[in-house]
Amino acid sequence: MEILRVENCSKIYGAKEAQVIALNDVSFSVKQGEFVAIVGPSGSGKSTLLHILGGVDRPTSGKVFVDQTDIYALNESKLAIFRRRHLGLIYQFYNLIPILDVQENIMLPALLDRQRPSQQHFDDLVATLAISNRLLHLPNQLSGGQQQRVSIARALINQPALVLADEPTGNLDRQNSSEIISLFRLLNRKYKQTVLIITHDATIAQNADRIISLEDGKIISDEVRKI
Amino acid sequence: MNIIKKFTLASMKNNRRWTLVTAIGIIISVAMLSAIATLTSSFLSYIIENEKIGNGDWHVRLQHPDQNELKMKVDQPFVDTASWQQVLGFVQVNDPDQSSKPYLQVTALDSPGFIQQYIRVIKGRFPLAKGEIVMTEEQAKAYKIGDQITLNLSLRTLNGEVVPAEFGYMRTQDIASDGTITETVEILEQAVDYRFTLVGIIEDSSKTYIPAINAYTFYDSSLAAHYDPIVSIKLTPLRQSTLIEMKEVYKNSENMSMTVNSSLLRYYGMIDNQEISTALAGLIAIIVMIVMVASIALIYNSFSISLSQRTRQLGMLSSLGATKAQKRSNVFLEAFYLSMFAIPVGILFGIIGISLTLTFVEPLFRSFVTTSATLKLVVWWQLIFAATGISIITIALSVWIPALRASHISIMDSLMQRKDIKISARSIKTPRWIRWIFGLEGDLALKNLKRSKKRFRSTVISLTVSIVLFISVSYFMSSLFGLAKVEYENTNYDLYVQLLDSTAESATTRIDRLRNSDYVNKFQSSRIISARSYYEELPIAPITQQLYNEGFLAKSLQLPIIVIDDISFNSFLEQINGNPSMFTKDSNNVIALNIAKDSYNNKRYTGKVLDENPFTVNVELTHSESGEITKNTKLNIVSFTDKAPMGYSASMFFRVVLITNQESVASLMDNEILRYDIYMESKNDQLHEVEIREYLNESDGVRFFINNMKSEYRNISNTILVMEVFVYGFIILISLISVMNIINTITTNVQLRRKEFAMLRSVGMTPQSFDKMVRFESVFYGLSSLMFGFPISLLIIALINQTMSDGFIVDVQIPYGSFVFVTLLIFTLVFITMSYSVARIRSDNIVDALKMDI
Ligand SMILES: Nc1ncnc2c1ncn2[C@@H]1O[C@H](COP(=O)(O)OP(=O)(O)OP(=O)(O)O)[C@@H](O)[C@H]1O
Ligand SMILES: [Mg+2]
Repeated sequence: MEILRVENCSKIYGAKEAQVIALNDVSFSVKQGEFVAIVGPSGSGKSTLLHILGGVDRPTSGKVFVDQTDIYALNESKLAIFRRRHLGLIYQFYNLIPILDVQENIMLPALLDRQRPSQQHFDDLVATLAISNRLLHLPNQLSGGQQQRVSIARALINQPALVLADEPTGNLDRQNSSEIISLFRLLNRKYKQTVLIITHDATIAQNADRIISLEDGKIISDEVRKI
Repeated sequence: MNIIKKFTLASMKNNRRWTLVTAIGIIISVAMLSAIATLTSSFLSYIIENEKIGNGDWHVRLQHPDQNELKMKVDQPFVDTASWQQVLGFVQVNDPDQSSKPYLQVTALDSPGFIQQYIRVIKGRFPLAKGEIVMTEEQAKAYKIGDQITLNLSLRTLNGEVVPAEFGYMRTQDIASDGTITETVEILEQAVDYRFTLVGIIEDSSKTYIPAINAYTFYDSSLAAHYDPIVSIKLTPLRQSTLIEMKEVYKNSENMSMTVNSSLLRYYGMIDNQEISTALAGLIAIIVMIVMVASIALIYNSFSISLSQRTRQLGMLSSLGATKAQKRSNVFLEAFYLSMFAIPVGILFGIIGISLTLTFVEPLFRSFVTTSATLKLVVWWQLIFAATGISIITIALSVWIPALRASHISIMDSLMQRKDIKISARSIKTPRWIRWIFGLEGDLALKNLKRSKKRFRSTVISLTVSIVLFISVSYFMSSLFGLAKVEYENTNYDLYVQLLDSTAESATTRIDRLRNSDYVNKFQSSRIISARSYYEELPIAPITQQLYNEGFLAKSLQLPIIVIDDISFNSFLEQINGNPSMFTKDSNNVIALNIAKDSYNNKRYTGKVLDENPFTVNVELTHSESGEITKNTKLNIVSFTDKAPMGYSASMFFRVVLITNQESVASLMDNEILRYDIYMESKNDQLHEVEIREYLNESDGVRFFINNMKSEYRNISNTILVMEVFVYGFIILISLISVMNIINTITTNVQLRRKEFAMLRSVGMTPQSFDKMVRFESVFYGLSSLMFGFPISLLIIALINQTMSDGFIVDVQIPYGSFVFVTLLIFTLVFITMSYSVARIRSDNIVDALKMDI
């Protein structure tokens, strides 16, 4: 089943001479349960693409369908609600809310929806991510790897259609990175979670079902691997 | 230029918006201090000018029988100018029993003397040669300029002793052993004829306590005079030591009397004056303290915010080897650069502000003061200097802590963004019910405030100060002026004329003439018959009985009978639905004004005095002056009302006003004293008053007294308005400082959280939720400041009541109006500030905001 479809997406920054084409007419689609790695040199437009898929930035032209919904046809409020229910974003710099403790940070998308996620799902998630004993700490009391795991938990709490991660291990050591990547794999297998992950790390990319390569805002290869 | 200076200037430029905000903060504070200084100097100058006009512009007066002796005395380094004068003598012009000014006093002055005494010529000129004289219009009535006048001038004596010229009219009483009293009054002796030429007419400037009207001639040392010559000295320099030196020099002068013009010199600080200096200095000190505290809060806040925005750079500097002193000097330099610009601008704004205020206030002010002194802008550089000094101290105190903090900024701080690290779970813990009631948005809002506790607190304190100042000062003003206003608001007439006529016929013509003036809107003339009865004989209402039993009332009840002219009486009857046929000749029928407003033992009582059933009562009529009983008679109280005729507002529990017409009580009238009370509503009270005065002044055989209530009320209102302009002006400015502070805090608070807002939005917070969170923050700001502001205000109101009720009876009334007003104002203020600072952030691009490194 198709969970994501990108149709002729472009993103252009600036105007005239200073114009930068960060994304140049990109189209592709992703099926449910796929584990996709996005690779490419620095400045090739990976983050730009991810932000557009994540509904936090608008494409200059083109459409993005998540779970059959044309997300940029939604108004701002509807898009925000869509984001918290169907999309999970993970950034290189965690981006946790410093005044909320770990538990609240994880539940934030659900809380914004005035809902409580099932306790079992929550317990399962924090156990999987090995942060059950840190639930009442504030983000600044955690290590980088722990913070990243919290932000992963936050991305997954509402069982989103799509998890998008932008260099989630960029700040972590090898040990920590491979733990995080195994986690993504595990989640992908266990919950059939669709994952798009940007990485510079070749070993991570080798673990993916599919590798999309970007250069100068264009897809230069889209390689489906059988492991 | 050294690197720290460069860095400071660069970061100020980089942060232009913030630099401007800080500068505005300093400007407002300095402007207020400069305004206080300018206001003080303007008012003091006004008082000094007033004093000079009233008492003359001199510092010391020496009097000695020998002129040459005096001339030698005056030759001293501390004498700036000397002017000569001598009282030639007195001549009687009025009957001492009839007038407070029986004499004409002729004083010789030299040219500087005329200026020093503020003598004003209306017509003609000052005397310039021996034998020339100027007089008041009244005294020169019989003459014209150029006429020769011979005055028979004498010395005032009492029992053979000379009465000094500046003494009041002397009377002494001797009680002989058999109890008979003999009164001796002063007399005039040694009359000498002087010939003068009238050269000018002056304004009457004679002081009320001196029993003479002034006339002036030109001073000449060869004049023969009844009194010793006087030299008026102005001292230099104006210092306390000058006065001490002078006293030392003149210490052992025989026959010389010395008068120090202490009422003037105390304003120059040459004489210690406990009352004035402590009261005035105390008031100014309090105001300056309030301004300083508010300013320090604002400037401190500005600097700490500007510092926190520079933490990273300072950390970098530190890693490159900047010393603590260098880092500290960064903040001091910033303060210095800002002050160089902001202090002069602030001083200027303060002066301009007061100048504008004074031009607005002066006409109002002039309407209720009688002197010719003018309230104008006066700037004393000493005070401006002091204001500058206080400003510098204020700024220094404000930047001290930020500077110390700057010196402690380390590399780690800047790299790790210490701010976040400082948050502890405990400090931002919120009660569970907050989430239940206000939702996630409310909880986030509260946690935010708790995180930036210091800023939150300083904002709340600013708001609280404004609330308390506003409520308590407006309460104080309204209770102070309320009393005055209420009294006048209860008055139902504009002009009151009391006539004492010689015959009933002439009174009738005059009253008719007054009634027919074009200015009259409503007119009532009345006479009073004084009467009394005894509570024991009267059917009194329960409340009166109670007051009587508690001993607040005497045995007798005053029953003044107000006998109103027929026209007014008929319209009064119409008003109260009375029956005109009852008030026939000698019926002795009267209407009782049966509503009393009175206070006993600090409690207010309002109610009926008498039982409201018509009855007949025995009364004693009394003589209006001596109070002796002149007649016993019966009065029929036929009707009761709570509507008062003109000139009356209500009865008292000891005094019930009875109203009737002339017919009804014709036989009771005392026609020995023909006193008429005339109350009028006027179309133009001022012109009307002038018209009445002119008319009655020309009439013979009548004495009168006019009271213009309307203009009194106008003057009171103007006085109040002037006070209010200053007081509310002050509150507004202080609040302006608070508002600046609040805007600063909230804006930066929001700025610093841009990234966080973006995070919240990226995980799906809707714009509505976002607004809700911001509104909650505003509400919490407002509620917290009201929570402190209201109880403190109530406490101060209670204190004000406590002190005020010592002298007055004041109704304790909580000023709900100002509470509501302040609540609305605070919420509006916080909401506007919040919405303004959030507006830009709302439209932030999430991705851009997340990339920011604050
Ligand atoms: N706000 C912006 N304004 C102008 N240009 C931008 C903006 N954001 C990104 N760009 C440009 O768009 C291009 C793509 O940027 P993007 O961040 O997507 O690259 P990236 O592939 O994620 O690189 P990296 O691997 O270094 O993170 C770059 O050339 C970048 O300079
Ligand atoms: Mg990137």
